[in-house]
Amino acid sequence: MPFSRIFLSAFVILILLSACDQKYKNAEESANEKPSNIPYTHKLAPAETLVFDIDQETSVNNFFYDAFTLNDVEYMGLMNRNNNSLQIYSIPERSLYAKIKFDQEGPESFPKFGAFKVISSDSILILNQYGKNLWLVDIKGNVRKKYDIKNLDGPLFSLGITFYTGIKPLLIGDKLYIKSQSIMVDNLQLEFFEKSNKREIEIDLKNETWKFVDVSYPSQYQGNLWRFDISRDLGKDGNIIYSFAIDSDLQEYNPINWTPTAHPAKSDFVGSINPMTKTEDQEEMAKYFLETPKYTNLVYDKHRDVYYRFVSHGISTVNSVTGDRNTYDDTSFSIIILDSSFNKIGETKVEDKKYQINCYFVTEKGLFISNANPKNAELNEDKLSFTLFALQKTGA
Amino acid sequence: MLENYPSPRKIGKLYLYLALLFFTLVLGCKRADSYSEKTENLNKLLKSIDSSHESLSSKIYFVTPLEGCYPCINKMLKFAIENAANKNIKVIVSGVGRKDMKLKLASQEFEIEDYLIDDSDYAKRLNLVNGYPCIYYCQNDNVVKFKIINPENFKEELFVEENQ
Repeated sequence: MPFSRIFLSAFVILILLSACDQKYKNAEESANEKPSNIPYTHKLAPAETLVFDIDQETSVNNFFYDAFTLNDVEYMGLMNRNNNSLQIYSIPERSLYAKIKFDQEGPESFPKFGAFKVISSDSILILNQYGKNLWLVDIKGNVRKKYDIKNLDGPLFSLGITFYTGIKPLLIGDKLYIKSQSIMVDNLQLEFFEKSNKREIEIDLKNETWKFVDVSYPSQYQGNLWRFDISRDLGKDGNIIYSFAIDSDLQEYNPINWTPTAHPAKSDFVGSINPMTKTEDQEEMAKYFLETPKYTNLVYDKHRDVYYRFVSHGISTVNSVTGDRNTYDDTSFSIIILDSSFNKIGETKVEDKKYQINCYFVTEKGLFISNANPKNAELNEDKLSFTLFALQKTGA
Repeated sequence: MLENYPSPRKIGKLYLYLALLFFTLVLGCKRADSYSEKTENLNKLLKSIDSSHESLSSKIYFVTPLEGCYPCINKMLKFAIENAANKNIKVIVSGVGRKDMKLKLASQEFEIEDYLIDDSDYAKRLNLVNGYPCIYYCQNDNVVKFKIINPENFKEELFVEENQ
């Protein structure tokens, strides 16, 4: 029956078209996945707001924060990319304590300031884009040392590095670790995810040498294109704990032998994560990045001896209510809580459209997350505002 | 009865014809939809910036984010300054918060007053821009072509325009 065949063919085409649509519904379904009934013992609860007045040179959008203690006083530091400065705020006083500006040009310039590591008020390590310069300064901005880091391949040059809070430089003794990549390809090439692409640089501050260390994407990355984000922090025992975007496990690396140990840390809100199909279509790519969930920032809270792993849930590209496109600011996220042995003890979904997932720091009180989500109705461009997420026992 | 059915060769042609018709319709509709949606959204964006906006009177609209492909964005911002006198070109800069945008522009030695400013990131929600700047070419108040700009095609796109 030839005409039945025509109808059959039309039916098949319709099924195929509907399957194309379905591809983009998976992310939404994944984001709405219900938490399991595991009786978690802990949760994170918004407890208080910390607000700093900021000057006309400072925006609420900053991508690098860190908290530290100097002479028993807690401070929060931020890297101001707009004026190339390190700004340090006293947490008890809730005010600006120091501003260290670096020139963009000239003989004493430190262009494209990228990250800092405060050791003491006399010793602050600063790095700029690509790790081209590494200096030691004091809190007044006096330069104490300009490192001349070299190896047989030449001076320090960290490919592809843009520092942000989730990939801050880590200091272990005389060794400073910065995220990098060892091969010059972008994340749209399969080679980017291969074992040969080393993702961490070790800088020996004493000998002023550098080398790539054996950290690369876990094996499930190979053969496909994926979300490429990595976050890591210094863990309890001086090991470095990595969170890879599509790997539900955390990877613990001992910085002596660099052999990873996997620790399950799966989110209740994320199902399987699909690879990206290679395309030149920018809109398709944007869709993939928006709709695909990912594991993101990994933080060790030494005061409570727990790890927090942030999970960005996927969101459908089109807002089903308004018809407008969703953006990253609309994405839901949750925070997994793990004890120091990597047992999952909780996962808390935070309020939507209020927080900036990449802007946070940890103090004695707990985890502070920036309230600077552009969709936050209470956003004030002249105030830096953070919410304290207190670790609590469930039922408390 | 069998002689009433078309031959297999004819059925093959029919399939081919239907397939061609189907794909022509699908692609044609998709493109037309896309341009009319872009026209509508570009008008919405301009109206949100200037309530007196009525139609797409300029030939070219650049829409650029402040976060994303920094070399492309920087080139586009410079291009806007160089072509400030050209009434056929308008540049819309999209971001979050006027203060933040002002600081970001100033850090690259640009001034916020030189651009049309979308400080609520509306262009992103309207799908007019993402991490790369976009060029919208207009005729008779309608978008007739758009290009997403990357470091490779930027010069080419401008060259085409400069010679029109």
